[in-house]
Amino acid sequence: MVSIVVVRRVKPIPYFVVPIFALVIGIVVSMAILFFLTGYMVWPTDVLKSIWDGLTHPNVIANIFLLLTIIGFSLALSFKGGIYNIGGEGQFWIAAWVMVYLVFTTPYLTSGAPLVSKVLVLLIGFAAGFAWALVAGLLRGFIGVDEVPLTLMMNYVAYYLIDWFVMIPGMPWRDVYGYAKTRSLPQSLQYSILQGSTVSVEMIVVTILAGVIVWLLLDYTRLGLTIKIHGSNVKLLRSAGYSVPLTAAVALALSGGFIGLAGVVYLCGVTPSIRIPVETSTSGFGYLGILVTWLSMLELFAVPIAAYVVSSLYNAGFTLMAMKGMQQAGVTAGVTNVFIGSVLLMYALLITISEYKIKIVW
Amino acid sequence: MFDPSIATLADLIIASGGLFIAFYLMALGHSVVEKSGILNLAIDGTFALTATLAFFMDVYYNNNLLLSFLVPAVVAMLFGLFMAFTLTKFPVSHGAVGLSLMFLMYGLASIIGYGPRIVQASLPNFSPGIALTVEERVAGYLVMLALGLLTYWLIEKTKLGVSIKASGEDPAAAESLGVNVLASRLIAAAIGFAMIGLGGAAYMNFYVRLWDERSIILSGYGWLAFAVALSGGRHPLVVLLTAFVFSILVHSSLQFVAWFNISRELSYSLPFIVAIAAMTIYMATPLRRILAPPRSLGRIYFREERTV
Repeated sequence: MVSIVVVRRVKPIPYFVVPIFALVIGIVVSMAILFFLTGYMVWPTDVLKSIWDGLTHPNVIANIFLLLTIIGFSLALSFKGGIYNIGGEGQFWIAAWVMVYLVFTTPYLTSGAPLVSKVLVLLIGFAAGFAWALVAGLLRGFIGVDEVPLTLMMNYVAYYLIDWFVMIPGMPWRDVYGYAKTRSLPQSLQYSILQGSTVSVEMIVVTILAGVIVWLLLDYTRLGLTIKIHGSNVKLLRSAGYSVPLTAAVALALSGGFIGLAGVVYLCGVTPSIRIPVETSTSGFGYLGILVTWLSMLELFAVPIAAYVVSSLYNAGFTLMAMKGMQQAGVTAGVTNVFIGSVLLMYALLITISEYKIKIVW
Repeated sequence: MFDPSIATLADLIIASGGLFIAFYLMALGHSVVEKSGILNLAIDGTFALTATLAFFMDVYYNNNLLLSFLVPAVVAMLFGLFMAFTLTKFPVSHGAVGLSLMFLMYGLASIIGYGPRIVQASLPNFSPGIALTVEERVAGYLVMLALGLLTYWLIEKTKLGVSIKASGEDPAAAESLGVNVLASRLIAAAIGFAMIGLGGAAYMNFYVRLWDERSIILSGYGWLAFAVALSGGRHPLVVLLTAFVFSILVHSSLQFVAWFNISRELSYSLPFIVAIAAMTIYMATPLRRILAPPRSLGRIYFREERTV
């Protein structure tokens, strides 16, 4: 009789092995799925070419890469605390929305020096993301509601609230031509693109700052230490006299705050208005960020690497769409979800082999 | 203007019959899966994929309802068996596997749905599924009640049900008492995911009867079914009540626009706000104790060999 035997390894295998294997096998699985489900129209070589295009053309994926890096840092903050913030999408868009709201209703916000305005809106985005995530954090920490479905459902609430806000008639943020979007941000808030590239200095600076702040917070502050202990040993945290519910709430809220920065950066640096319905026009950065964070094994230095790879996968979905055409092959932006799902699934399964040997005995 | 007369409410209840069937089937299936200790975060993906598969079968097999229900149920069952096997045999995270399957199923639904949608556009006067008559909607409520009673009997009164519950409460203790945890979880997942698949198919065939990414993949109704099951304490009969409330709420969300003069977008968000409130009330009140979740729900369990 065939049986599967799981044995703990004496020494864990190097941590970088699992994400690499997960990525390779996940891409192979995606290629097989796309090949068969599109009626052999998307060949594995097409998939490899589209991924390679992204990997070798940093300019094409630079914006996505920077956004996913910020979100990856942000999610790592809560994931390290054992708090699975799946609500990045909602936090991202709520921050973007609050910024738009304040920019168009508070003129003095943009009346000063551009640099001051840009810093102010970043702080506003952080506060908005923080506040939105804090709602989930408090419910998770003090009442015990599972944060995964909670934050996921809050994404839908955020989508529909923003759809509503954007379309309120007569409001200063409404598009002047009546399109289903907000007005564009004032020029003073829009980041200037570096010559010969697709990114701006501001985006790069915010990304680096977000990474450094998260790193300092986690490794050099008491709060960071309590968040990390929350992720590994809640009983120890409680016995040391710290509030476990508060730590969970703050971890989730801080994570939301940093994702809020990404929301602001997206509007200021990539597209200057919010289009609705948000749920159909979103690029799903909050979800892609989960893949980035897991692939980085929660190591902050690996977040940019994972973000670069995930950006290429994201870009591959659109490259395939352009190469094959939606009508001919049924290839839509949903291809990205096949990549995310396959790679994440392989990662979730293969993480086992870092600590365990799996033998088939008969 | 809201008219709270008996006739209006009766109309509302009958009109939301198709949605009630879909929500109840999904929430009941989800409850059976979670009774065995498997945290099912793949429910929304399963909903999206199975509703899409039902649409696919409707379009390509001329509304053959048998195939339109059977194929989604079997596909969902296969995903459920995979999930139960991996989560019981290996030390892997329930949350990670569930979420990754969710994304994978979103992607599959997106690719599978697009072709038949193009084909459907070339079929004049074609709508997937059937328009339920009033009698069929009433019958639907009664059939769901019977299914709820049957599931209650299965879980509470049979040896299999006890094994499933034992696997969800304390799999290690159950194993040492002779319960085959893997077999129990596989059976629970097969039954539960098949029900979720039937729910997805019911949503397509009895309720929405159209396919686009917004109404299927981006609707989040799988998550509402998750909230229906959770707020009903995963109890087959209590879930009847919560499924009823949510189906009325979702179905009438567009009518809220006229009744209470609120925006359409805001009305879409109401079911999710209520779902969050329901989960919070469940966790914050004695309901959490009375309808307690399985103690080992979502906890990693596997048999580690230490001597090989």
